[in-house]
Amino acid sequence: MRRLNILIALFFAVVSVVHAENIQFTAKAPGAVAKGEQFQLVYSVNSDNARDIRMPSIGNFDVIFGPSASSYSSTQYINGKMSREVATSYTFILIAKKEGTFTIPAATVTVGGTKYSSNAVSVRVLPADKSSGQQAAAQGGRASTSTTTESGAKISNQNFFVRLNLSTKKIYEQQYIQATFKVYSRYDFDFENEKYPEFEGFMVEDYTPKTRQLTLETVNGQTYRVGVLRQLLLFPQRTGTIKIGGCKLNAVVRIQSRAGGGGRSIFDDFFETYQDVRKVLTTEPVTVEVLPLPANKPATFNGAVGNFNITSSINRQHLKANESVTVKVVISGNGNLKLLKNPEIKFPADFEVYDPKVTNNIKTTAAGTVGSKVIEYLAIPRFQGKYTIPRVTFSYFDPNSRTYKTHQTQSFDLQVDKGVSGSQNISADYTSKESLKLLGQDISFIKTEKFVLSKEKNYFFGSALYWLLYILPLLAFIVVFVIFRKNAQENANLAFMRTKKANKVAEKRLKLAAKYLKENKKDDFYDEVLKASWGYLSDKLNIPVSALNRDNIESELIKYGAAEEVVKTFHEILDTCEFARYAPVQSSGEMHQTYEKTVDVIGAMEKIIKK
Amino acid sequence: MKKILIICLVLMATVSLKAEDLQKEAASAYIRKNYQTAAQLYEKLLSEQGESAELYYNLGNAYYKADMIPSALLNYERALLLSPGDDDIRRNLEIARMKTVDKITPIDRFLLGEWVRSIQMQAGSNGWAKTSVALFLLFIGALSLYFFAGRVWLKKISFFAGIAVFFMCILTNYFAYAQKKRLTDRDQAIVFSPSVVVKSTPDNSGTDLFVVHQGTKVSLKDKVGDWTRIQLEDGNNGWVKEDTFKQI
Repeated sequence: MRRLNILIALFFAVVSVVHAENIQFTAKAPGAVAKGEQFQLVYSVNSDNARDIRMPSIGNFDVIFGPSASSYSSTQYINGKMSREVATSYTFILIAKKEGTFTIPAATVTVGGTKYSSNAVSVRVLPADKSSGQQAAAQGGRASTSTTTESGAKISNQNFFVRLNLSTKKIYEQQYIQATFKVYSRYDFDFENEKYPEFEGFMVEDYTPKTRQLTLETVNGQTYRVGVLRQLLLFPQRTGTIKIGGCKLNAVVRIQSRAGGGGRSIFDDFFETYQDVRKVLTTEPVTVEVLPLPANKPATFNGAVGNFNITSSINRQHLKANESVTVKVVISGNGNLKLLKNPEIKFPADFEVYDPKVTNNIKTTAAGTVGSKVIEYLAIPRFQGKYTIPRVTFSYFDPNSRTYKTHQTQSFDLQVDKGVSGSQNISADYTSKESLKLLGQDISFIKTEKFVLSKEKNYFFGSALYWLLYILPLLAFIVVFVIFRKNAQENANLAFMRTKKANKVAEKRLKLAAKYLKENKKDDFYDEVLKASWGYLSDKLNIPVSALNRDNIESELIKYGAAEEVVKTFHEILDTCEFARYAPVQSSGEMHQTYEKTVDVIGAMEKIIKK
Repeated sequence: MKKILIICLVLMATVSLKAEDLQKEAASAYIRKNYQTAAQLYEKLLSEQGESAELYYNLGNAYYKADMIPSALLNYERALLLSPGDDDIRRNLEIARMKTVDKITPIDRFLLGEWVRSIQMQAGSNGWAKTSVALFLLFIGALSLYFFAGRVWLKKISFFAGIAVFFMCILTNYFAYAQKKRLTDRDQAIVFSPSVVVKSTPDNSGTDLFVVHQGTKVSLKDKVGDWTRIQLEDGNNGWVKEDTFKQI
């Protein structure tokens, strides 16, 4: 029995513990309210047996209603599992009495005997509108007269406008600007057509909240309903001055108007009419100055701007050939993560490397694009051995400190064993030889053998020795040539001159013969003619007189191309002369005839030889 | 007298020993990857002992490894001037050139001219001059054969051989002259400033024509004051200040 009691007690204890862990008690109130305006403060607890809610003292606010409690519960069965949701909420309606920022301290509630306290809420109380202070202050919350008088008039720019807020106007390339389009209005409004600028030169990240909520904000003493239209992060992609164009919004504003437009009728208060007024809201274009990144970029800088960290891991360090290994590199931080290039891992040669798999886990918030980029490199070593996968160096520009920072991951040693039988072939089978892989290029090594240095340059070309080497052989050749030639020429000349002069010598002799003919000196005449003939032939044929005889005269003359007649005439003359020397007196006529014949035949010979 | 001679000998020995030691020291610095030290030692050798193609080549290597590409290029070019046929120098020069910024496409040259030029680059001035003398002697020999040979076929052969050798002799003489001119004129330079704006006139107010970066090889054409007119291999030319480049 006692044991059972203990068990039951334990069970409840466990249940209550489990229960206790899930209890959440939260307070919720608008962030900003106008002075004199009523607002809701809601406490909610996810339990249906909450009791004894105790409000803290809130001196700066008047509680005009509450608490009104409401509870909610739902039970769901999904795949046989039961889940139950319960909630109880307590609503207070408060009015702010003073301007300023006030904290509503934690309230307490009791659930199952345990006290829970809520979070504290901070509420900013804005000053009441100057121009229409009654509007918000009006207890009934009804539109005041000041609004109605405006009804037909134009909606002034002071009451309804759009603003583009930029966090900064001067930044570095790839750093980001927060851009917020906000609408400020004192009316109910709706948009028909929203047109935002192109943001040329920027990479845009949109983080506009999905549901538009209006908050209250005071600008120049006026309280506006403020809605965030768009929230963007702009990453400039080039340097220089970049212009952001204005936006254009077509708004529809619902304002109260009076029917008939005449005097105030008693129905007006009951039958208020509304009028839709269209208005175009625009913002002015803005320019942003984008500074280039400083010049001292590290070699490994790849365009990353922000604040990053890099880590790497490997799935295994001991494997067999042809098994895969994965190196995971994680770049995390805040900055232009999306635009980052994958850092390069230089796997050892012979590794088969595949394109890395990239997983982005990036969130865009007001504080920038935050998250991580996971890059997985898959490689397969083909041969056994010990390898090292080198470090990955990653550089980025930190715009806060305006410096480049470089992080390195660790390197991994890899032990690759011989692969299983099938894969062994790759290294053992030489029939599938690979062509030589050029792993790198480098200059040739220095020349280590001793070399001779010389201060002056000596050019062989144009030097004295050079000229001597040309002139001396030439001179030697000329000397040899001249000596050799002289001998040859002397011989050649003698014969030539004799041949040339043959006619003249013959003519001289013939003249003498002619003289003897006149004087009728027979012996002398024939002697001269004979001498002239022999001499002429000897000179002409370049044969000494002693070597001449009738036979070789004939053969030589024919060689020169003389006609047989000429040869015959020569023979006749020679015969006549030799005969006449020993013959008795002959007539002068015969002598005359011989003379004529000799002159003719020599003339004929000259002609032949000239040819 | 004997004493002086001994002193002279000892002095000469120490000088040559010093040069050899420096060479060894520089080479070992290079091997130990102290490229800056190696470069300094080679520079010292250059200023004290004189020049040689190998020295310029080693100095170029040291500068290349120390990542001083313009200095490396300058010394490779100087080495190549002294020893135009050296393959190592050519290769390293090519690799160093890949590290320069400017990509300049030379204007299309006449193919035959380019061919002749490549032959010309096979040897230096002295080599060509020696070849020309040898060819001249051959020519004289052929001439003698032509004049004094008894047989007609020998005469014919020596005649044509003589003509061929004569023209080759003229060509080699031209090569020797051209190579000597390259060495004496030194009308080429390497740009040393990281980037230089080339002007249209020898004045700071001149129009900016184009920009060249360090390591680019230029030809020097004209000089006015401290301005020099440079020409690139693609034919572009303009004026730059004298302190932006170093003559090869």
